[in-house]
Amino acid sequence: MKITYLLSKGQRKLLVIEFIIIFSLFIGTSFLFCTYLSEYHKEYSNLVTANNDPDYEVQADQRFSSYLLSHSSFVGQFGGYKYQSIVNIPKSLVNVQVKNNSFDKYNLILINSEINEAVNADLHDNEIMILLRNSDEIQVSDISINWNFYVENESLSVINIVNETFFKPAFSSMNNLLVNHALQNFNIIIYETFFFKIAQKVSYNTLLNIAALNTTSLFSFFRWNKTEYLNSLPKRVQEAHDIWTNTIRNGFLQFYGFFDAVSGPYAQIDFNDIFADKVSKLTQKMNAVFISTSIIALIISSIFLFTTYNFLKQSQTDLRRVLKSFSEKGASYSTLSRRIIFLHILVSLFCLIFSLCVSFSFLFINKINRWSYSNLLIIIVHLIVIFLISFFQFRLNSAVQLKETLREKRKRTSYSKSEIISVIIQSSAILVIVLTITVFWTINKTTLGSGGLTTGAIWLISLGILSFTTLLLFTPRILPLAVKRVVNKLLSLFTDLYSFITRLFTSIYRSKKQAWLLSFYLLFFTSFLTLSYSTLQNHQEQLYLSAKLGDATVIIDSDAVSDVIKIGGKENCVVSYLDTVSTVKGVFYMLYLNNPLKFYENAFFATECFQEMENYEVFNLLNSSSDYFITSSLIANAFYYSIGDNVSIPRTSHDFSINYENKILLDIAKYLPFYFPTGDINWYVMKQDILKTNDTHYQFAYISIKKDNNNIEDLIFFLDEQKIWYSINEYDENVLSIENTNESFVEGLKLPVIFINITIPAILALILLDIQKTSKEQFSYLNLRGLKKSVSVFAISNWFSIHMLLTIILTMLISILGLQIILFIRNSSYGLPVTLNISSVFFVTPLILIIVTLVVPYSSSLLLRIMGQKQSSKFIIKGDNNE
Amino acid sequence: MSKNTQPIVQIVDLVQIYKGKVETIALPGINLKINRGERVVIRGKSGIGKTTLLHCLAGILKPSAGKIIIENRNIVDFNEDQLADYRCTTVGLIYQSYNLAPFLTVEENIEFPMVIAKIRREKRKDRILELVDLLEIERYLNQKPPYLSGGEQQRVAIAVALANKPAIILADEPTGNLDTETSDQVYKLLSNMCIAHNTTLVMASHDPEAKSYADREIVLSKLKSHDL
Repeated sequence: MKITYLLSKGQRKLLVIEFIIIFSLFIGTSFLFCTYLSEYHKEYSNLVTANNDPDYEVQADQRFSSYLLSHSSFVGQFGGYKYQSIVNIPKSLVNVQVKNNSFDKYNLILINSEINEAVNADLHDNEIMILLRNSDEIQVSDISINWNFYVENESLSVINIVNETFFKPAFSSMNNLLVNHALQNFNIIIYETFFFKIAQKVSYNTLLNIAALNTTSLFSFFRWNKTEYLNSLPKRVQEAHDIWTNTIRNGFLQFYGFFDAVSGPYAQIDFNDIFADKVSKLTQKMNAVFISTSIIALIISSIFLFTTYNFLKQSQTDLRRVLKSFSEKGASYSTLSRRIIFLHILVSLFCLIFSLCVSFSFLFINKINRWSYSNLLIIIVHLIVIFLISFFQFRLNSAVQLKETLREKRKRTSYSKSEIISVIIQSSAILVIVLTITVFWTINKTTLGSGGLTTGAIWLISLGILSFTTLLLFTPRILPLAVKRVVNKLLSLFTDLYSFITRLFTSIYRSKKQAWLLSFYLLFFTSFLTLSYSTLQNHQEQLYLSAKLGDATVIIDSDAVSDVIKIGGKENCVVSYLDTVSTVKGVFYMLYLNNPLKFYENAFFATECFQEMENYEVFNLLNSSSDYFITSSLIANAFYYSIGDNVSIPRTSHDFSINYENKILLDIAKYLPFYFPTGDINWYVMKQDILKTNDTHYQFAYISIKKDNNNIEDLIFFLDEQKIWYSINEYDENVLSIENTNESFVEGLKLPVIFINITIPAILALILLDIQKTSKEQFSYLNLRGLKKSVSVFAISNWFSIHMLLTIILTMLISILGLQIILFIRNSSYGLPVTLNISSVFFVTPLILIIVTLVVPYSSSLLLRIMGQKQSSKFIIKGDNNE
Repeated sequence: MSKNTQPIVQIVDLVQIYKGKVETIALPGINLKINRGERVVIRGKSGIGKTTLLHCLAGILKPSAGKIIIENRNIVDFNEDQLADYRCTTVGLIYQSYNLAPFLTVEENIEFPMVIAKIRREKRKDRILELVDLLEIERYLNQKPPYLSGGEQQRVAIAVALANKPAIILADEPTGNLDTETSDQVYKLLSNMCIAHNTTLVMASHDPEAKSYADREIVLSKLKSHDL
């Protein structure tokens, strides 16, 4: 014990610094995850404790007669669950007059007692309310509403006009609810109990006489008591929620099934799983945050681990000295070595305990300690960190064997031989693994579900992976050889001492192998992540634009384009022009694109869109001349067209006569998603004729538009108001699937990409400074013998910049290769191709690094100049008495 | 004083103060003349300033005050490049810990100062052969310094110091790491070399034996200005 105490005393400073570094590592990583947990729990608890939000929504569309029939069984409680319901009943049951004019654009809505209570409407008997969505200036006195049948002493009385906030106490947000889409601008709200009282009074048959054929939409909202799941994982909550919704779902199906059996099929039931969607959205969002947190934690950990490693390695000389002096005094070396390891492990354990205390205190203060996920995550993070630290310490401490310098050097002579053997073993292992997997994959192509990939593609992918792995593994080893050759050649132009300096660099490469390796992999990591981000983001943007453009199309008179764009928003619209031509062969639709290439840039085309050429090539050629056109496969088959055929195309002139123009068929498309998703219409797409500059010469304008933010409703309102002729097509189910957008992944990558592009140059600058320090030590041997300092600084500067330049180029190329392989696999498996996108962000880090490599070698002299200090000592002289 | 009366080294009021938490006066104001070809041993207690004096003479340390005139040039006024030239051609340095470049072979270590001095390749080879023959280190030419014993390394260090036929050899405890027998060999070698080439030797040493290989012994004492 005494020895341990003495060792700890001798190593106190080292142990304290080590403690600070390791503790920072623990705290840094656990802080990141604690922040993530806090954010997650905050959002999650908002979701779980939300009282006003419905968790499950059912819409039953049925005939009004069936509604009346089923209502007696539907008495405010369904399957033991309380529910709120809003019913759209036939509006023909009432007459509405606004400002003495008859009015027919409204909904007649019944609310049940649960909503009546929740919104505190306090509707009684014949009292009704008007819900206005637009801020139209209508007074209660302007409105007159009467039953469309005779009922004694039960006239309707409008007591209030409300807006959408009326429903807020019942549904904190109506945005995601089905009923929101069913609301008109003008809605009449009646209390359900009152309505059925009237119904009984006048008899159901009277009502059915008026509205027997009309349909009724019943919106039912269920709430789930989920607060008990506050401390459960979202997955567990979703499972419990699924059980709950299944009970309701089965109840509904049975309930309507019963009526189905009695009176034939009459109801259509839709279920809208609101809560599950919210949980899924939250999980998706938090997964993205988790990805970014993990990547940032990984970078921070790498920095701290590298610092720890470097620090412990640097302190080895000191440690050896201490161990030597102790062993000279009779202590067994193995005992000393064990004690040292024990001391280091003790430091790590102290850090672990302190960090756990701090982390759990944080969780406790933020009330997330009862969330099992928090504890689990924090423990896992700590376990990973302690494992990494222990691994490093073990590696370092096992290296602190008190070996004679000579023995160590002798060992180094056999180093190159063992290195070669290790390289051969590694290469063989990679080759065997990749070949085995490829052969296995090829043989079991069908059973493994890779039927979409041809055997050639599988081998191409394997070859790519083999090249990628080999390059990634061996480039950092080969790189110094290449750098040495280049630096040697360059230095030989400036100084006779080049061979000595190159030898020095070789020596530093050996002693700083880990630092060089780290810098290579950090750069690769940066390039790969940046490239992935820009590619995925670009792909997502393209998909989004394509998807949104396909939402709806409006065909209008060509002279009304500017008015429509004002409403739809310029960025949300893609305008083309349309001429219809009727010939004896049928009606043809001629679509003219103003700038086909620009059109291409905004859109995404699935692989099966065109038959022969790449999408870009098609649109590029289409853009180059109005002599080309593309058409559908349907027309091509009907008229026996082949690609490259010179086709006579009809065109309506100003005087409505038909002329023919010769154009070359460029390519055949199955469909163009923006225009005709099914592809079964006779259409021709071509570039707009440059001579026909006035767009109003065309019969129609064909506008693809996004259907969100109610702009379609506004547009229709506007077109109606302006009395502009239009035809509108809305596609409920878009042809393009947007499941593969990787939205959360792209979102998760955003922060790490910014982070690494800032931190990696800083880390690499530190690594270079560390290497520079070592090289300065080595150079001092030569400086003592008369080597000029300017020569050494110049040599280091050259060496750093050439090394970094080559590393940057190679890491970029390897990243491109790696990502191309991933994209190839992905594109072969899915119909939505992703193309590599190299954005300007890709070059941020390289540019900063090139500046850093030029500045770092001059750092010490610059620093001295800045500090204005007098240089008193120039050399590090080994073993000098510092008098 | 012996041999030539022409001083090759003239130190005038040399002061070196180390600044730190506590200011340390390493050299309190030294005046010293050393003639060409003279062999001088500097003695004194540990921490008295022997190494500091040698570092100032080698141009490794810039003194706080005073002049160091070597061959009629004040090296205190030299810039870095001039100092590098000075270390390459005028002085040869020998240290207790040898200070040989571990990444170069013995041959390359000896050759390096000559390459800096722009000596032609053939002449360099001749000089290397001459030195290794003289110092009996021929068989280590292709070895790297860490593989050699202390005595062997010190011989190599002497060869490196003598490579450019410097006018002055500055040796700081050259036998500090060696046994008595090897120390005697090193002293003898240094002394003979200096006599043979009329080279000035300035040697800092604790070893009383060193005195017998010197023309003059200088003893440094603490915190006094010296006229030596």
